[in-house]
Amino acid sequence: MTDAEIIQIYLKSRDRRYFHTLYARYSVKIYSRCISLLKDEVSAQDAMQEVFMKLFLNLSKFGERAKFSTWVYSITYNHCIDVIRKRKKNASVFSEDIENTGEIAAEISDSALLEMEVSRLKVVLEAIPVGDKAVLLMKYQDEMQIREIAEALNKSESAVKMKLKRAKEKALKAYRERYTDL
Amino acid sequence: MDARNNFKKLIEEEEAYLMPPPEVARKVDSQISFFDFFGKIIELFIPKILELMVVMTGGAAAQLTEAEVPDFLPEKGEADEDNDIVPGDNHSDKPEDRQLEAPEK
Repeated sequence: MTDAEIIQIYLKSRDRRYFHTLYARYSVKIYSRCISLLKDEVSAQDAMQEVFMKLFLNLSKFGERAKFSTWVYSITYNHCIDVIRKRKKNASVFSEDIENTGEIAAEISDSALLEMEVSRLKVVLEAIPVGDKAVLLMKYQDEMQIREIAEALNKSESAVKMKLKRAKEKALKAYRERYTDL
Repeated sequence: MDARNNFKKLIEEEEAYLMPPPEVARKVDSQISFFDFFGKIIELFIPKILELMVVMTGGAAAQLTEAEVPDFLPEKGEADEDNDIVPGDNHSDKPEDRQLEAPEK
C-alpha cells in the first residue's frame, strides 16, 4: 500500500494503526536525518517526536502535490534548522545568508560531490555549516526540487540556488583542505 | 543523479545502524491518543455548549435542518388529502352526529 493510500484511509477511518504504519516506515529515516543535523541523540529524539506530531496535526493538509517522503523530509529539515537556530540564538545557520542573489555564476559540477568517497563525504559534511549541509542533503540525498527546498526553508528559489552553490563551494574547499586528490 | 550518488550510500549506511528508541514511539502514541481524545470531546460537546450559550443569551435553539426533518412530516404547504380532521375539532358534518352533539338543556 502506498503512503498516499494509507493517508487517505487514515483520514477517513481515524484508525491509529495506519499512522503507526507511517511511523514504522519513516521513524528511522527521520531519526537519521535529525541525528545528522543535530549531532546529539537526545535532541534528535525530541526533534523526531515533534516532527511526528507536526505530521499528525497536518496530515489533512498533505495534498499529494509532492511525494509524501519529500513532505516528511522538508518538515524534518525545517524543524532541525529551527532547533539549531534557537541553539545559536537566531544566528545564521548558513555560511552566508544573502537574500539578494543577483546573477548566479557558472554551475559547479555535481559529480565532484556525488562521487566523493563515502567516508570522506561524511567528514566534509561535518566540516561545513549545518545549513549548508542541510541544503546539500535535501538536494543530493533526498533529491528534492529547488522549489521544494525553498518551501522547506521559507526562502525564494533564487536564494536556494545561491545557497546550494555556496554550499558546494564550501564542501569542495573543505575537501581540498583535507585531501589532495581532487 | 543515480549513476553514482554517495550521498545515498551515506544515508543508507547511517540508517542501517540507527534505530530510534521505543520510548519515542510510546511518547508519539500517547500524544496522538491525547489529541484524538481531545478532538472527540470538542466534536461532541462544543456544538451543545454553543447552543446552550445561544439559548442563555436569549436566542433560539438551532432549528432542525432540512436533512433532520423526518420523512413522514408533510412538506410546507402540502395538504394531506386523506385527513380533514383539524386538531381540537370533534364536530362532524353528519346530521345524526349533530343531534348527539346538541347541548343538554
